[in-house]
Amino acid sequence: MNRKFRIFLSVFRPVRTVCLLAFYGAWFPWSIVNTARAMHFVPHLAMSAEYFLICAVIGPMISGFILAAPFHDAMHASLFPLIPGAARRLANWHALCAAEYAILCAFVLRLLDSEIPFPAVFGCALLGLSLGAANVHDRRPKAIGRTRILLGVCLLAACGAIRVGDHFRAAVIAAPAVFFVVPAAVGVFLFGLGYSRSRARARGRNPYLSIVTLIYCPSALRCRHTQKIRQLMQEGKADKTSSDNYAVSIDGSLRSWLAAHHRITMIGRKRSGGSMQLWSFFVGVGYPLLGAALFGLVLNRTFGVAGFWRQLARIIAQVAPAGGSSSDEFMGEACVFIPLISVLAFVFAGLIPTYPAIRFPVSRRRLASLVYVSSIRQFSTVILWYLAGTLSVTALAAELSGSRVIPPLLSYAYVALILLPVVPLLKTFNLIIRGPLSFIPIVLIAVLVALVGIINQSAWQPWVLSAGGIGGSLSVLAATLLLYWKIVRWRCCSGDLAFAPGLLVR
Amino acid sequence: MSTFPPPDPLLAAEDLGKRYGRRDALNAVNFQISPGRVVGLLGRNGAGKTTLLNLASGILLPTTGKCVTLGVGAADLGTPQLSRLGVVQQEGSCLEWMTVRQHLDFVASFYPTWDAGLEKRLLSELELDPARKIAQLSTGDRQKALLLFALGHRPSLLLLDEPMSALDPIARERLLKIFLDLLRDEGTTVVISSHILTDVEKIVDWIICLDGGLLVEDASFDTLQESFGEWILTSSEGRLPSAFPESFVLSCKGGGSQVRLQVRTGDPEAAQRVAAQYGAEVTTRRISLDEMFPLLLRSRKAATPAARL
Repeated sequence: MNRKFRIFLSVFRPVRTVCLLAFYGAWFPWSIVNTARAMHFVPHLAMSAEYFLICAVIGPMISGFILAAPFHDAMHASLFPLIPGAARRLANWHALCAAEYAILCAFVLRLLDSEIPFPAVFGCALLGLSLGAANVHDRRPKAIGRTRILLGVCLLAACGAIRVGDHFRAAVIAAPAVFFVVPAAVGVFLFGLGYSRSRARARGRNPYLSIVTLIYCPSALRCRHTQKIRQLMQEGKADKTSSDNYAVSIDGSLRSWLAAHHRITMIGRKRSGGSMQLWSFFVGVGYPLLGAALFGLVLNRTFGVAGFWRQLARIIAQVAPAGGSSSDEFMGEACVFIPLISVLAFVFAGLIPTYPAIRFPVSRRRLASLVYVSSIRQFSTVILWYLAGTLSVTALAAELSGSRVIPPLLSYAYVALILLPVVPLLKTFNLIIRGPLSFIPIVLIAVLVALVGIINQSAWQPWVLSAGGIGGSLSVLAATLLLYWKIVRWRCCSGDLAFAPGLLVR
Repeated sequence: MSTFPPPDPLLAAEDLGKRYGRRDALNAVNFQISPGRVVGLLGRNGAGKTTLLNLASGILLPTTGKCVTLGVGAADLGTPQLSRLGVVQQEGSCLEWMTVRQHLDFVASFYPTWDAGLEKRLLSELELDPARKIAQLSTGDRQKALLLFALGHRPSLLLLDEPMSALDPIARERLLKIFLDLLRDEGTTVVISSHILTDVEKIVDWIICLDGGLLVEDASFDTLQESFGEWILTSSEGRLPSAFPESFVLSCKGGGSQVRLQVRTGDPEAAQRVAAQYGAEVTTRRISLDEMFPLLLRSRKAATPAARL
């Protein structure tokens, strides 16, 4: 095999990449199909415009952020900006991949719609793919502001494109050169920006690993945690005691041990404890609000501004009469699947292992309690705040629409409870198995969620809300929690702590 | 007889300052490092050594002043300069998922001057297994890997931030030998920050010392060795004081019949003069860098107006 190509492969971890592709390979068509379905409910949007929007705008935009992840993983190593020409070469590889993908998009669309000009689709797709390249993954407030602006612009552009989908397609056909040159030029500019010297330097300073890498590579997570502490200390946001226990007084109770553990996990930042709660709350609230924004931008011409909020509330609360308009149906489905995706997100978050206070003068039995209780507390907090967010939106929608019926949305929020046993099972699995096999739980979750989604809601919704369903779910949850406790105690009391998988001893 | 102009410095700082939030990590630092020099960058924890090396390698940008590395501002370091630069970062992160072999191939592919022979020698002398993954290396082995990545292309300027802190004594000894060979064969300029001063003094010829973000010493090691010393004054009459008013006396231990003075003076006759003044006999000896380091900081404090008061 060509030596340079072998080096190229080693940068992108072939095994991991295969797993990544398998994972996203399952989800990406699903998201594309749903996007297509969503657009199908946009009034007056022709099929040809739908194809165009999916292949030239939305698909490349989503793929661009996924495609950029392995490139950015490499660039965020502190060694990287010191290697001469490395950023340029990576930029070339990234641009090559993006160009091939854009050609594929244009080719597929050409098969579906013979009128559409190939170069214009290529240009638009390249622009969508380049958006991910410019992301620096900087979590400082100033940089987050810029990222939000970028994402906001992308979202607005996508919504705007959907809103005027037919006209957009017509304009592309009328002036293909413009729609090739301008988007391609902006795309090249964004690639240049993402791989510029200053951004390469910023990436090297900022420890970042994509969520997929974090899941597959616990040692990388450990390394990132150490780097993060150093970075925060340099910026004066954390002190030296963040990595040790002496910042808090420990009186021997489990509560004080938990406080010390929490301080280490949160790297000494005072207000970080609330960030997870806020995050889970906004997962519950944010998606319906995002749905509202999309609804307003895309569909408000059906109802007009005046009736928009009332209609949205009715749709969220699922009190719209059966056989309502197609847009009602779409929003109802969005409200069904969005909490499902949110639950999935928090289950993934549950995979991030905790850092036991191994440097403490703590007995093995106490360590087991510490690991167990801190995990359970973390997940309980996430679930409670998530449910609080979802229930707030549902209750508000029911109130606005004058409904006194329990909205079916609640049953979907209850999906969180059905999936809850997965979390201790995953944690258990991570304590037993290490190495490349640790991706298996992800596949299991994907399969489980797919099954829950595939089975028609009418089949499981009544059961979930029945006494038997609730009792059954709680029994399974209790059993998995007990299993998790047994495994944690076994691992902490009789295992080699220095190499315990899932414990990440520092 | 014609005189040659001094060579351009490989690394220079002009009023260099770096601020993190409200804290000054470096403040108005000025120095120049000529080619071929081996500089020991000394300072206590938090003195600004890592910040200075990060500024020199272009990882950080200065808040004030400028840092010129290999003839260009550190912000403008491009491929030609980076090809001549070798950097070992303290707790630097690599591409964790690669094996040492893969990482070496990856790094080597960017350097036209990569020396496969040197790489082989380093792998052998540092006893690093190329088949192991970076993520699975111990702290010491990770440091060895970082050294390999920095040395393989025979850089003109080598910036080393605590390169030996995690190495065992045998590995340190071998590494010092490699450094000495590089210095002899290539004339490599080295800036090394380390707290293991017994190792540093074996290779350095220049000392830069920082304290609280300020430059407190920038002098050749020989000059420092000549100016710092320990005097043992012995008096048969037993009337030696326990404190000496001379400004060059930095510390005084004992009293009566024998005192040990740690001094800093450029005057070679000073020892005899003081001994004669107190009617004592004097024995002088050079001090090691380990002993010199606290005196460097103390002599700076003694020179400040507040300390004089």
